[in-house]
Amino acid sequence: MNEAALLGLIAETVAAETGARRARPMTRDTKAAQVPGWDSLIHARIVLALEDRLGVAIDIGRTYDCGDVGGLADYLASLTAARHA
Amino acid sequence: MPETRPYRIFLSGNCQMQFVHDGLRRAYRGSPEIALSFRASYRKKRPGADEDARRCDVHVMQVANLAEDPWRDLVPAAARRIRVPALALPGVFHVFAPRVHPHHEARGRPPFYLTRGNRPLNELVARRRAGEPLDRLVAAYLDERGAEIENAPRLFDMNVAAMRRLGAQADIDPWRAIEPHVRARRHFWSVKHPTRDTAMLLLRPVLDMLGLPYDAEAVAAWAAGPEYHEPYHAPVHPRLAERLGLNWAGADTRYRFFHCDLTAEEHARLYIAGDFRREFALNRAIQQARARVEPEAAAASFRASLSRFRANGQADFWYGRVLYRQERYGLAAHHFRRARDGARTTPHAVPHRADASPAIVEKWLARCRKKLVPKKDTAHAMAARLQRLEAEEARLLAEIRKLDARQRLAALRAADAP
Repeated sequence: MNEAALLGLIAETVAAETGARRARPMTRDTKAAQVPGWDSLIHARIVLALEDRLGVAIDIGRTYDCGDVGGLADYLASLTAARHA
Repeated sequence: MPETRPYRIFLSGNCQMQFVHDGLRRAYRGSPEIALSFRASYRKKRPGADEDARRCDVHVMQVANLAEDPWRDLVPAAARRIRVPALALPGVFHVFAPRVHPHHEARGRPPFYLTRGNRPLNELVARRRAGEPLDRLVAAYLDERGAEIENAPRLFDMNVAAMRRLGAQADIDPWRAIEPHVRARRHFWSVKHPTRDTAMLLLRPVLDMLGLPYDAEAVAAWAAGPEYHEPYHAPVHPRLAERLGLNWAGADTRYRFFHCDLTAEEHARLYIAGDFRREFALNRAIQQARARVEPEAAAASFRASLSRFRANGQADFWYGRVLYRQERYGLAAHHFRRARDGARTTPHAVPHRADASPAIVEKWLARCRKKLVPKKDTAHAMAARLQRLEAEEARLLAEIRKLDARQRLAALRAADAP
C-alpha cells in the first residue's frame, strides 16, 4: 500500500470512529489534536480498526510516539512491509 | 517556602484534577500561606485566567497520551512540576452504554464518547421508529454477539497498555494499584469518571509529593464522603461483562441515572424507546430547584412527575424546596417528611455529593415548622398588636365620652323637667 492510500485509510478510519460525516483529507503533518473527536478515548478504537483493516498487530504505545499522521503512516507501512517480507 | 508571599500551587486538567484540587483545599484549609488554584484544560481560557499559571511555585499538571496541557507553557521554568496521569478506560466497559444527557433532550441521543460503540444501539432505535415492538428490540440488544463483544478483550488490552504508558510518563502511577483489581472491582462510574476511592489514588500521592504539612483528618473525611463525579453511571452490557470477566457487572446490576437506579436492560429500553420527555422533565425540575430559578415551572413539572418520584426521597426534597420558596409551608413539610424518611430508609445505593442527607432535610423541615407556627413575639407582630389595642382603646374612649355626654344630657334634662 503506497503512502497516499495509507493516509486515505487513516482518514477514513478516523472519520468512522469519531462519527464524522465524511473523511477529512489528511496530510503527513496532521496531528490528532487538530481532528475533532480524535482524543485518547477514541484513539484505542482507531488503532483497533486499523488492525482489522490492515491485518497487523499494532503496538498502541508506538502510535503515541508517532507525533503526527505521517509518523503513524510510516509505522503502519513498516508493519505491513514486515508482514509481506 | 517563601515567607513574604503565599506558596502558590496551580493545578490544571480535567474533572479528576478538580477532585484533587478540592481535596487539597480541605487538606490545607488551616494553612493560609498556601494558595491553591485550578484551571480546567477543556475550557477556553478567559482573559486574565492565566495569571495563576504565570506566578505559581508548583504546577500539578495532568498528562495524557495524546492531549497536551494548554497551561504548561505559561508556567515559569523555575516552578516545580508534578505530572499526574489522566485515568480512563476508553469505552471498553461502556461500549454499548446508552448515554442520555440529564436535562437537554437534543443532546440526549448522540453519546459523547462512544460514537462507534453505539452504532448497533442506534440501529435498534431506527427500527423502533419504523414500528418494531420495543420488547423484541430490547431482547436483540441484550442478545448482541457482534464484533463489539468479540473485540472487547483486544481493546481492553490496548486500554491497559495506554494506561501503563501514561503511568510510566507521570510522576505518580495509580494504574499499578488499579490494574490487579480492574476486573474484580468497579473503579470507574463512566469512561473517565473514577469512583472516589480511585480518585483518592491521585490525591494521596500528590499530597506526599508536595511534602507540606496537612490536615490528615480532613483528608480522611474527604475520602469517606459521597461520590464526587456526576451521578450518571454508564451501564455495562451483560455479555460484555461476561466476555471481560467483570465480577462487578451483570444483568441485575443497577447503575445510577440521577434519581433512578436502572439495570442495563432498563437503560437500553429507555434509550431505544427514544422518549426521554418524562425523565428530562423531572431532571430539569430538580436542576431548576437547585439553581433557584423558575419556581412556577419547576413546581408544575414536579406536580406532573409525582408518580415518578423514587423511594429515595431526593425528588421530594427538591419539590419541598420549591414549595418552601412559594411559601406553601404545609405541603413543603409533607414532602420534606417523605424525603427524610426516604433518605433514611432507602437511600441511593451509591450516594452522591448532591444528595440531600437526612440531616439536611430535617433542617428544612424545622424551617417549615417554624413558619407554620403563628407569629407571636416578633417586633412586627408586637407593633401590629399595639396598634390594634390603641385603636380599640381609642374606640372605647370615644364610646365612654358618648355615654358620659348622654348621661350629662339626661341629667340636665331631668333637672329642667317641671
